[in-house]
Amino acid sequence: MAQRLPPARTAPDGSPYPDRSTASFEREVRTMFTFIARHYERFNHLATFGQDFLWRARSLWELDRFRRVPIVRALDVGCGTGEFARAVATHYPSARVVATDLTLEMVRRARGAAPGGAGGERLQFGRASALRLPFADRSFDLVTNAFVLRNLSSLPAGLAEMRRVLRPGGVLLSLEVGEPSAAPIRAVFHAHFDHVVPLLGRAFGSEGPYRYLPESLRGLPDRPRLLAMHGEAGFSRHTARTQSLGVVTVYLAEAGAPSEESR
Amino acid sequence: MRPDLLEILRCPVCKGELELSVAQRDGQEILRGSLACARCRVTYPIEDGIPDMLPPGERD
Repeated sequence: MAQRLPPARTAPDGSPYPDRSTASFEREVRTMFTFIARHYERFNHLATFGQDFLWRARSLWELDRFRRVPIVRALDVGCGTGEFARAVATHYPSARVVATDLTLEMVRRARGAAPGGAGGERLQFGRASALRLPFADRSFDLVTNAFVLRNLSSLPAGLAEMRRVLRPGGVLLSLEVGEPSAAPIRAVFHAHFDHVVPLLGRAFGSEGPYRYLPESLRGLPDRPRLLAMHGEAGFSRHTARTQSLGVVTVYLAEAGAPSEESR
Repeated sequence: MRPDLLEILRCPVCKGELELSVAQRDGQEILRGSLACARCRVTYPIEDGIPDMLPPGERD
C-alpha cells in the first residue's frame, strides 16, 4: 500500500533539511546526500581541516591491534564517495571489499573513483540500505562505517544487521564524531558545528544539510551508551577509542569468538 | 559488479539466493542486467555496473 508522506522539510535556501521525527526520514536523508554528493568530499576535508584522512588511517591501525582474524572480505556501509572503502582496500592488499550506500549518486561517484588497475578489481559497489543489507549471514570479516550511525533511522536495527553479516570473530568498525568530554574543547566543538559548519554549508548552497549535521550529532547516544548498544546488538568484545581530543571515536566490536578455521 | 559477488549477495527482503541475467558486460564486469530472487521473485536491476538492492517500493 502506498504511504502518504508529508512534504520533505527544506532550509530557507531550498536545500533539503532532513527531519528525524517524520516517517519519510530515510528518504529525506537520501535526497540530502544526493544533493550534496557533488561537493561532499571537498566539504568534508574543509570542515574537518583535513583531519578526516588521519581519522580513517588511525582507525585501521586501531583495528589491527583489536582484530583476531585476517581480513579477507570487507564491507563498507554508507560508503559515500568511497574514501573509506579505498582506504580499506589499500590497507589490506589481498582483501576483497564491497561498498554500499543508500544514495545512488554516491555509489556512482564511488565506483567512478575506484582505481581501474591495481586494487580496483578488489572493489565492488552496490546500492543498499544499512537496515536491510543484501548479503548472506556471516559473509564478512570486517564491516566498516564512517560517519553513518547518526544517519540511521534505527541504530539498534543497523547494528544488528551489520552483526548479522559478520563471521564469528569478524569486527565492526564504526567511526563517528562525538562530543569531547573536556569542557573547553566541547565549547569549541559546538561552536564549530553549530556556527562555522552551517555558514560553510551556506557558501556551498547547502544550508539545510549542514544544519542537519549538528542536529544529527546531538541525536546520537553518548559514547558509553553507544558502546552498550553494541553489546545489546550481540557483539561480545567491544571498545571505544577517541582521536583528536575526543572529537572522533572509533568503535570496535567483535562478532563472537573466532572459530578455529577463521583464525 | 562481477559474478563472484553472487557468492554472498542475497535478496534484502527474504535473503534468498539471486539469479543473474546479463544484458551487457565488459569482460568480467556486468554493466547492465538484473538479479531475480529465486525465493520471493523480486527483481533488482543492474545499471552502469551498480546493482540496486533496495526493495522496489524504496527505490525513489
